[in-house]
This record gives sequence, structure tokens and C-alpha cells, in this order.
Amino acid sequence: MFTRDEARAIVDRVLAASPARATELILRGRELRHLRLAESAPSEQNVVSDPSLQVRVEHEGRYGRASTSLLDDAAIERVLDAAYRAAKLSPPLDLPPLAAGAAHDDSNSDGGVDEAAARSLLARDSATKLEALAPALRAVAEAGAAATGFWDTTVESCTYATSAGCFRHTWLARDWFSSTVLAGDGGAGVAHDGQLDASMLVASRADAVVRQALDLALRSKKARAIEAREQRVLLAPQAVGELLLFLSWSGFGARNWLEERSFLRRRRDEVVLDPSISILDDAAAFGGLGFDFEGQDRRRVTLIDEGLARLPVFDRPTAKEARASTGLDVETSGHAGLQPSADGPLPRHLRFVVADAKQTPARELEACLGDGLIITQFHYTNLIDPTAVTVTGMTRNGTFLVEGGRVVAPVRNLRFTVDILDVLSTIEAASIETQVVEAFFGGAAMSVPSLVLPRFRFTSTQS
Amino acid sequence: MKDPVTEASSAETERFEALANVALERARSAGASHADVRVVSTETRELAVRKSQVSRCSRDESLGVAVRVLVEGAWGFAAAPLSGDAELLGRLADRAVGEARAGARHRAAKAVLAPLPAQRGRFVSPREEDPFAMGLEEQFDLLFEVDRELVRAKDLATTSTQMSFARERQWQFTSEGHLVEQDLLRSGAGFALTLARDGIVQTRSYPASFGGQYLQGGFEVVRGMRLRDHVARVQEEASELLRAAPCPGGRFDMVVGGSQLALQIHESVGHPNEFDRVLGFEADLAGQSFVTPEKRNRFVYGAPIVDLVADSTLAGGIGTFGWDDDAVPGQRFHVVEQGVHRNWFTNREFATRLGDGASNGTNRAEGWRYPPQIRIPNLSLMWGSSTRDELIAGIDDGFLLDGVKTWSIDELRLNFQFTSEIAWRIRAGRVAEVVRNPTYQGVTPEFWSSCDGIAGREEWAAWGVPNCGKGQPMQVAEMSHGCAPARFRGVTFLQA
Repeated sequence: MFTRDEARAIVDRVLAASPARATELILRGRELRHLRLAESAPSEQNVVSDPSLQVRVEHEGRYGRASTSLLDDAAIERVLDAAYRAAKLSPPLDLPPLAAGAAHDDSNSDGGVDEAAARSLLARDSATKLEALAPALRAVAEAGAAATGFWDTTVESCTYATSAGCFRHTWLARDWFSSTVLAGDGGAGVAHDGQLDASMLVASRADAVVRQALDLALRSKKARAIEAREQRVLLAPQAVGELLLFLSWSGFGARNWLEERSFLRRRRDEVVLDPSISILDDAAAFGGLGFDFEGQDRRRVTLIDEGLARLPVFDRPTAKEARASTGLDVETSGHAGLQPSADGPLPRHLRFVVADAKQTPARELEACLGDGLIITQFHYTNLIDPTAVTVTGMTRNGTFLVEGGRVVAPVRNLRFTVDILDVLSTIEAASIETQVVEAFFGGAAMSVPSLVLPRFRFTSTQS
Repeated sequence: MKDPVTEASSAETERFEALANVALERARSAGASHADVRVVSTETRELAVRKSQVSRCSRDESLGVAVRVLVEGAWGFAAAPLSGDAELLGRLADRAVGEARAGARHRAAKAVLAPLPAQRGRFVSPREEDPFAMGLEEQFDLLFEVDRELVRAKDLATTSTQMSFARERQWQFTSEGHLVEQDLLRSGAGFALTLARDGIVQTRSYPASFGGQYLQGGFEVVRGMRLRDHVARVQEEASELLRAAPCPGGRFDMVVGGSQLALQIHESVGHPNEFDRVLGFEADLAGQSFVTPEKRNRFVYGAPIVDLVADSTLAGGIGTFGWDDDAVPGQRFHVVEQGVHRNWFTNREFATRLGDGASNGTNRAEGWRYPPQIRIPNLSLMWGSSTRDELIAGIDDGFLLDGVKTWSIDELRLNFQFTSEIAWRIRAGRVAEVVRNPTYQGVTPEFWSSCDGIAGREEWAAWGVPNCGKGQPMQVAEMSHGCAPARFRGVTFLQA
């Protein structure tokens, strides 16, 4: 990890050594503390230092990129040389100039989290975490169940700089714990807790994660098979997050929007979801980077505004392309990935907001559901059709049948195939409480409520 | 694949061995019953073109070291870039031992490693033309030549034409005296064309979707794909897909091969046979497995003609190696033999749990940043005696599928639903019109039991999967799945 001063010194070394007219660099320093659980005991304890330097150089409108895990002079020279040679031999590319500087050299706008808070997460070792978990793991064992889990503490410094004078630096941190408990007879439950803002997951909350997963696992034993058909559902936050993720991947990025593959395209200001739903990308709310990988300010973007389609997120190349091809007066929203980017900009800090009129305390949602299914989590969801956002996947880790507003039985896992735009066209209720969840394959954090939906199509059973 | 194995003796090896010995000795003196050190150097080059523009031109390198120890039956792991810091290896050993000791206090079941005879040697994967030594011009020329043709398509949404090369060199040293060195090179390329009209979006690709085909070898692998020769056909098929009717639902026979059948092997045979997953170690993310321990030698996984063979020595396989990251030699063994389950994938720890005398060598890590875990090796459906055309001729009403569009499978690896890029209706034994979004659903053992014909060796090929995710944090591994077109009866198709 690199302090602001350390990062600036490395940036100066790299820029001084660069043979190119224009150079961009992204310097990251990550420290990882990973604890994995299996059979209610630790199965892995890993400590990893993972610095990296990415450079992009420009030579007469041609770009090359290279990276290294080493930061000695020889490695810096090697990585610059590789990028420069790639640039000289690469076909020309029409990209905006590298970000210039003074206006962005303001640590207050760089986002992220407090350095001291971030570093304090690393001071706690695996022994302390295991002591915190020991009572709950004993409870799992006494119940004849087995706990698995993953406690991820990661602290990272991130620096973006260019030879045009841009220098941005901040800290990111996560302390995140998930646990899945297996109780036999098909019983399984999952829970997680954590934040991305450098707040420490205290012992009592880690303990609660395991106990919550155990409770779900015990309640979901000896599940009954039911017919796969359309049902009313109460989706827990993890399941809502999965639907939101696919909306985002298929619809909220400018690249798919420009290529007519986004459901937002040609539907601006039309109703596409229930009018109580708004979806925003808001990195600041999650302790995310305040800048993107073009050095631009990462802005808050409203993607769905009370059910109405708005514009996707842009970086500078896609904004320019949109201006040329659509005549819209759009600018970057500060969502650039590494440039040039094949996939284009994507939102990574999503908030799913439901209007007050449809909010209900989470404990009352089963009554709102009446008859239907509670879904804890989806598994291996994947996209079938991008324009209707048709997806398929399975339920997992606690699916329950509800009759008359009360849980009557656990049910076996079911496969669903739904058009997300259709199932989110009407929501009946949402929890007041929200939870931060992450995507199965990573890459996005989402703040979501639980939802009651009037229809959700299940197409087959597990076996 | 014995030829590439020679005695390790390079100066580089001697330098790394001296460094590793510092960590091994430190770990041993701190009470480790086992310690290993892996020095890993990686180099990748990725080039991509999208709609007449460069979308990627990168070269990445990495050099790091990982120290893994077993103390009182618990694992500890520490890793960092291999800098010039003289104290680094000792410090990593101390940290790994500290982590292991913390775990041991909370772990009743102790990890015990299956025995392993002495291993020393060097493995270099075969290659003819070093892609890293080539200039970028020739590689970009090929990509642009393909892309220039692709962008002429009517209703163009986007194109993607790419190639990538990855070289990994690894030196592995253990407290038991094993010393093995590997130098693995894989190359891959492919292109995809996406068309859109009236709200319908369809993609067709070659040689496989999601990045193309990957094989162990050098640039000769890319040349062998003859990308340019397939552009016109892909354009025509993409255009047909845009006009095609949706695939109907119902029960149909099908012939499937290529990357789609490879994915079926990966998801419904590969993952459920990772023995750590069978024991629940991956339940928090990836899930569990229906192939529980009592099923060995009893469970009917598929029809008697179904032989599924794991082979870490497969020529061209991107999961081919000399040794896994436990220093266990690459092996060939049946997972399913004549339809009956025989073996799971193991490492030295889980072979002991299973009661096997030795690991079958599938413990692999992504680079130096992660500890090894059980991974799917090269895993193939062995060839039969038919031909694709004969298989098609045996279908009255069904489909011929090709290419991967999307996939999903439950956490036990039983219920799956796959959508292919393209399907052709088969009517009265003949290939007829194209249908779009062919989606089939099934349950793993029922599906493999419905297989009644497999094409022969001439139509068999290994398909590379360069991006298999597993673990927390997720690691990426590479493997190949060989298959020839096969016929399955009475498969459930969903109305698209």
C-alpha cells in the first residue's frame, strides 16, 4: 500500500522514466487477509501483499498498455518499454487526451475511505477473528450442522496519475464476512454482513452471521417438492441484488446502449419499471473511488427515475460517440474502466430505492406476501436475452412456502426463467431496511431492500 | 508427453532454490510438518479489435512467491511479489506459520497429506512459434483483416476479434525435497459478430464463443484456426439467426458437439467431481455436489457408451502440466467409465480423506497470489464409433446445436439450463432451418443416460476453458474438454 506521498514519488519515477509523450498510470497496493471456514473450522488463512502498476502510453495517437507486480527501477523500465513498443506498433485510436491536472489535484474529491480506519482493519489477525467466531461455530457443531464461510479483509491504496498533471489518490477497504451452514437433509442457510467503508465488522456481528445462517439451515431441512409454476414471491436482498446486477450489466452501460443492446435505448423517459422504483449509481454512498480510470470525477447518476428510463453511465469515448451518433448533449459520468475499454463504462455502486408509499418493515413482508414463496438467494443466474433482460437461475439456501402470511414449509430449490423488466414492472411492497450485497462474480456493490412481487415464473425443480 | 521433461538445472532454478530454502528452513524450525514454496512468473499479451478500433493492447507481467505451510494439521499461506528484499522469504514463512498456528487452535480434524515419491524435473509445454517474440503488426493485421469483413454485415451491432497469449513459469520446492519446474504456454483467438434489429440481438462466433478457442502451444495455434476462412459463414449464420423463428418447446432429440458439449462436460461432470466441493468446502459460494462419497463404483452417471476421462497429460490441453501445485505428477484416469462413476478429483489432503493412497494430481493455484485448490483438469468425453452425419440421420425431429450463449446449473450440479448460439432443426434425418435461442434443460445423470451415440476420433477435439472460476476469493484456472458430436434423446427444450 502506498501513502499519498509514497505514491507521488513512484508516479514521479515512472513519469521521469517514460519515453512516451503522454503517460497514464494506475498504481494499486493491496493487502489481503483471508480466512476461509469449512466443517465449522478454519480451512485457509492467507496473507497476501499485491501491488500493481498499470501504465498506458500514447505515441502519435497510438496507445499501448502494460502492467507489472514489481516496482523496482528495472521493472518500471521494462513495463514502460513494453507499453511504448506496443503503442508504436498499435493502430491509431481516437481517444480523448489524458486528464490534465490542477483541477483534480484535490484529495477531498478523491472519494474512498479514511486511511487510518482502513489500516486498522489489518491490525486484527486471524486468531482474533477465530476467537470471535468460536461460540457460534460451537453452536453450529452442537446442532449437528457444518459452517463454511469467508472473511475478507482487504485494504487498498489506489492512485491515478498522468503526465498531463492529474494526480488522484485514495484508500479503499472492506471487512466482509459470509457464511453458509449445511444442516443435513438438504438444509442450508446463508447470511453475510460487512461494509466497504472501512468500518470494522465487530465480533458480535460476525457471530450473528453464523447464527442467522444456522437458523435458516435448520428451518430449510427436509424441504418438500412443489410444482414449478408462476408464484408470488418475497425476494430477500441477496436475490434482489442478483436481478439488479443483470439489469445493470445488460442495460446501464453506454457501450450496450450505443449498440442497441440496452433496454434503456430508445426508451428515454418511458416507463420501464414500477413507478415506485428508482435506481442510482452512487459510489460515494459505498466509500468507493471518487474518480474513474480517466481521472474524471465519478458522479452520482440516476438510471431509473420513478420507473422512467434515463441515460446510462458514460466514459469520455462513449460520451463522444453518443454526441456524434445521437446528437444528445452528454458528457462522461466518470465511470471509465481501463482505456481503451471493450465493454465500456459500467456502474458499480448501485442503490435500489423504493418510494415510501410501498415501504414496509421487513418483519411485515410475509404478511404482505400472503401466499407464495420466500427466496433467500439465487444461484448461477445468467442472461438469455439482453433486451428483455431474460435470465435463468436457481433458488438456494432457504426457499420457503408461505400460506396466509405464515411460513408453512421449506421447499426444494426451483429453476426460474423470467424477464426482469416484466417482474419488476409491478412491486407490491419493499422493506424499509436495506442491505449491501455483492454480485456472485464480484464487480458491483448494491444497496437493496427485500421485495414482494406478484409474479415470478419457475420452470423446473432441482431433480 | 514425456519428452519435454528433463532434469532441472538452470541458474534461475538454483537462485530460486536458495531463496526457497530460507523459507523452508524457517518453517521447519518453527514447527511446520510440511512447507512448500512456489515462485511464479507470468506474462500475458492480449490484443482485441472491436468495430475497426483497437479495444485492447496490453502486456502484463508478474513475478511473485508463495509460501504454504502445514502446522499441527492447519494450513497457513503468505505471498508477495518477489522483490530484492533479502528478508522476504523468511518473513513470508513466519507469517504463514503464524496463520497456520492460529487456525490449528480451532481445528479438530487435522490435514494429513498422502505420500508422494520424490519428484524432480522440468516440464516445458510444446510450442513452435513464440507469440511474445513476434511483432504486434502481424498479430494486429490478422485481427483487422477479420474485423474489416465482419463490419460489413447488415444490422451490425458490434464485433469482437481477439487473441491472447499466456506464459507461466513456475518453480516449486517442498520440505520433502521435491523440486519441479514448469514452463507452460497457451494461445487463443476468436471472433464474434453481433447483429441487432427490431429488438432482436443475436451473436455468432468462431471457433467458440466468449473469446474463442485456446490450446497449449504458440502462435501456430492461432494460424491453425484459419480465422479468415470462417468469416463469411459466420456472417451468414448471424444473419439467419436474426431472421429465424424462436426455438419451439417440447421434448426433442439433439446432436451437440464443440464448445457447447465441452461446457456441458465442464458444468455437469467437472465441478461436481471436485472432492473438496463434495465435502462442502465450497458451499459458501460455488455450492456442493450431488456426487456424494457413497456413489463410487455404483452410481450410474450416464449411458454405457459414456466414458469421461481426466487427463493432465493431454496433448494441447490448456490444463496440461508436468506436476500440480502439490508436486504430484499429471495423470490420466476415468471419472466415469462405461457410464459408472469411478473417481473424483483430489489433492494430497483430500486423497487421504477419501481413503485413496495417493492424490490424482489436480491441486492448482492461479499464479502466486493464491493457495492451490482442487481444480477440474482436462476432462473429456471419449470418442465413439459413429459420425456426426450418422447421428443426425438417426433423428426424426430434433435439433443440431452449436456454440454457447448462456448457461446455468444448480448448486448441486443437477438441474441445468443451457442456451446455444444457434440450432438447426433436424427433420427426417436432415438438417433444415435455423432457430434462435435454443434452450434445453435437464438433470445431469438423466441427461448423460440419454446419450446413445458419439462420433469418432476424427471429429473429436479439445476445447479450452481459460476462465473457470472457483474459490473465495475467486481464482481462475484453465482446462480443456475434449469431445466429438454426441446424440441425446428426449431432451426438454423450452419455448424461446
